[in-house]
Amino acid sequence: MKKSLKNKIIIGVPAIFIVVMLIVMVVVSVILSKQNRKTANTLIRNAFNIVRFTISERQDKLLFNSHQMASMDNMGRKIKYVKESSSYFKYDTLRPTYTKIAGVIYGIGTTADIWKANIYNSNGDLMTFAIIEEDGSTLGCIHNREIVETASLKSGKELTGELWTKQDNLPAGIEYSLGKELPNKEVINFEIINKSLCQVAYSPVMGKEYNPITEQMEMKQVGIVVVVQKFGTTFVQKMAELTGTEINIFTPGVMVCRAICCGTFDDYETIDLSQFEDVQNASKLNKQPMIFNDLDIANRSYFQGILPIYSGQKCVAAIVSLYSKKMAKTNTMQIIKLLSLVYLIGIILIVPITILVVMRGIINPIQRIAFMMREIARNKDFTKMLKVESQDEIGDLASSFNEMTGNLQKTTTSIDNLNREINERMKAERNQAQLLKELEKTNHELKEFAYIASHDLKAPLRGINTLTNWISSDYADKLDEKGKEQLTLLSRRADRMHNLIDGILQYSRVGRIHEEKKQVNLNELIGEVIEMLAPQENITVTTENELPIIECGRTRITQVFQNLISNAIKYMDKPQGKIEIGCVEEDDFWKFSVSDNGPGIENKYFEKIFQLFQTLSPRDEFESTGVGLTLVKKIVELYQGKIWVESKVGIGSIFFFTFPKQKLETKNAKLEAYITC
Amino acid sequence: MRSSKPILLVEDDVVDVMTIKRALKDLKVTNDLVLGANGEEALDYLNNNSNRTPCLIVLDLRMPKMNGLEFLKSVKSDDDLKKVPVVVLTTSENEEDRSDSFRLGAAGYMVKPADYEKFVETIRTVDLYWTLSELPNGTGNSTE
Repeated sequence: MKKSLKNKIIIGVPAIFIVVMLIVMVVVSVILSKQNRKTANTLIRNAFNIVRFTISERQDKLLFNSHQMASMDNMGRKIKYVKESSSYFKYDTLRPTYTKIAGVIYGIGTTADIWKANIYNSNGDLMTFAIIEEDGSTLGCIHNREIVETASLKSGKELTGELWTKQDNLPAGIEYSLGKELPNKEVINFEIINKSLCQVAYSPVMGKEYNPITEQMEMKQVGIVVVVQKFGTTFVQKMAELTGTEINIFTPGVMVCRAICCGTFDDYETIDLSQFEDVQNASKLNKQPMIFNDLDIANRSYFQGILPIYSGQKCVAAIVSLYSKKMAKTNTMQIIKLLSLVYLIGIILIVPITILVVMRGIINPIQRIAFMMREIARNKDFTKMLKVESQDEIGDLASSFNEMTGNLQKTTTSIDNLNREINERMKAERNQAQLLKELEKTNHELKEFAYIASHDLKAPLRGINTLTNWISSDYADKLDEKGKEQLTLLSRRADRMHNLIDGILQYSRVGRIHEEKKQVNLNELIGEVIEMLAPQENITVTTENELPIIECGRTRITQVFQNLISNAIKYMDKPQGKIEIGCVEEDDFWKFSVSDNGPGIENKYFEKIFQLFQTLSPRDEFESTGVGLTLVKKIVELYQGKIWVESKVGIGSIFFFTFPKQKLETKNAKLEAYITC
Repeated sequence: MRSSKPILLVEDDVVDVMTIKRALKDLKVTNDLVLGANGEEALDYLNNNSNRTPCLIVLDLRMPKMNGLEFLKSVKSDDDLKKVPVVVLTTSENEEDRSDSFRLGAAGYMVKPADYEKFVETIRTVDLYWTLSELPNGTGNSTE
C-alpha cells in the first residue's frame, strides 16, 4: 500500500478509534460492574431490611398472638382449673375444658399463620397442642401424661367434637414436657425445629391464685404458651416477591456446618455456617453483620448477601438473598453494544470526514506546492504564484512559498541583469582593447611619420642653408647689398622652416609620447632653464618663493617654463627686464606664475595667443614659430591644469598656470628630497 | 688623419658631400675621400681587394638601397673590415638610431649641424681624435 498520508489516515484513524473504544469499553465495564455491585448490594441490603422488618413484624404478631392465647377466654383460669383438677378428676370430666383450650389455640393459630402452638402447665407438662399445616391440622390434649386425644382436621374445616379421638401415643415431634425451665416472661427466639428456621414465642399464662400469706388473690404463672412460627416456603416466597431477589434460608442439617436450604432457589443447596462467629447480643436483628459476595451456581452468576440468624450466641441459620447478575450483565452488554455501535458509526463517519478535511486542507495544498516546486525547478520560471486559500498554517506555507519565489525571481532577474552587464562590459572591454590596438598602431604610424617628416623635411633645409652660406662667402665680392640682403632673408626663411618643423614635431609629441612622471625639484629645473636660456645681463630672472617638488614629466615641465621664460626674455622691451617666477599653494593644486615687465598684451588677444602658429608681431621682428604657447597650453592641459594670462599693456604680463596636486606621495617626496639634498 | 689611407664617405646627399669636402679642405685634411652613394656601393668598394682599406669610414644612416645600419652590420661582421672605425654622421637625433649604431659597433655618433661653421668644427674634432687614435697593424699603419 502506497505510503501516502491518505492511507496513513485510513489506517491510523480507525485504529486509534478502535483502541480508544476498547479502552473505553474496559473502563466502562469496570465502572459498570462496580456500579452494579453497589446497586446489587444496596438492593440486597434493602431486601434484608424488608426481611428483617417482616420478621420483626412477625415477631410482634406472634407475641401478640401467643399473648392472646395466653389470656384469651380466661385461659388462665382454665389452665389453673385443669391443673388443679387433674389429680382427682378424670380426663373425661375435664375434656370439655381441654377441648375448649385446644379450640382457642387452634382458632388463633389458624388465623395467625402459626405452625405449632403448645400450652404447658406450670410444671412444664404439655396440656394441649396444635399443629397447623397446609394439608391439615392436628390438635391434641394430654392429661396427666397418660391420656392423649387428638383431632385432625383439614384446613378450613370447623373443629367439632366428633373429630376427637383417643390415641395411644403422642404424634411424632410432640413431647410430654417442655424440657426446660419455664420462661416467666414473654420471650421470642429463633429456633431450628425439624431443620426449619422458626421463631418461637413464649407467653406465660397468668391465673389468679390465693396467696395465704397475703390473704389476697394474686396473679401467678400457671402455665406457658409456646407458639412456633415457621419460616417456610410461603415466607421465603413472599420475601422473594417483596424484595425482588431469590431468598434462601439455610438451617443446619445433618452435618453441623452445612446448612440446607428452604428457599426459592432450588439449585442453591448448602452453605457453610461456620463462617459466622459467635456474637454477643445477637438477638437484636439490626446488629447482625451481613456478608456480601458472589455466587456462581448452575452456570449463572449472582450477587449474594448472607444474613446470619443468631439464637443466643450461636448462628443457627442464614438467610441468603441472591440477585442475579444476569440483569446487570445484560445492562452492561447493552451499554457496550451501544458504545460499539456509536464507535462504529463514528469511525464510518469520522474517517471519511477526516480524510476529506485532511485532503483538502493539507494533502492537496501540499501536493500543489510540491507540484509547483517541481515545475519551477524544471522551468526556472519564478513568476508562478500559489493561490493562498486559507488563513491557517497551510496558507502561511503557501504565502511564504510565494515570498520565496518572489525573492528568487528578483535574484534571478538581478543575476540576469548582472550577466547582461558583464557581457556588455566584456564587449566594451574588447572594444576598448581593439581601440587601444588601433591607437597604438596609429601612434606608431604617427611616430614613424614624425621621424620621417623631421628628417626628410629638414634635409633640404640644411642643404639650402649650407649653399646659401657658401654662396655668400664664396661670391661675396660679386654680390651687392641687395643681393646680400636677399641671401640673408633666404637663410632666415630656411631657419624658420626648420624651427617650424621642430615646433610641429614637439607639439605632436606632447600628446603622443608618454613621459614617465618623476619627482621634479622645480627650483633645480628653473635654474637649469635659466642657464640654458642665458638671458642678457639686463634681464633678471628670479623666483619669488620656494618652488615645490611635483610629479610630472621632466621634459614637459621644462618645455613649459622654457617657453614662458624665453618668451618673456624675447619680447622684453624695458631696459631692465624683470622676470619673476612664483608659486601659490592652493588646496588641490599649485598656481605657478611667470611675470614680466615687458610690453604687455591687450585683453582681446588673451585667447588668441594660445592658438597654433599665432604670433602678435610680424615674424621678421621677432623670430617666433608661434608654436610655443600652444605647446605650453597643451602640456598644462595634459596634466589637468589651466593656463591664462593677466596683462596690462606697457606694464607687463603674468602668465598663470595650475598644476593639480598628486596624492600624499608628493608631500612625502618633498620631505625625502629635502632629506637627501 | 696622418695616414694616407683614404676616408670612405658613405653619403647620398650631394650637398652634404660638398659640405664635407669643403670642410676637409678648410681643415687641410689631405686624405683621399672615397665616395659611396649608398651602402651597397660602399661595400663593393670595401670588398674589392684592389682598393685600399680606408682608415676611417664616415657613415650616413639614411640612404637608399642599403641604409647605414645595414651597412654597418655587414662591415662589422667581416673580420678584416670590422677593424676600421666607423663614425656615424647623421641628421637623426633619434635615440634608437644612436643605440642601434653603437650596438652594431660604431665607434662614434655625431649629429650633422645645420650650420656650416659648426659642421666644420665637428669634422675637425673627428679629425683630431682619429689622428691620435692608433689602429692595429695590418689595417693601416699610422706611420705609413
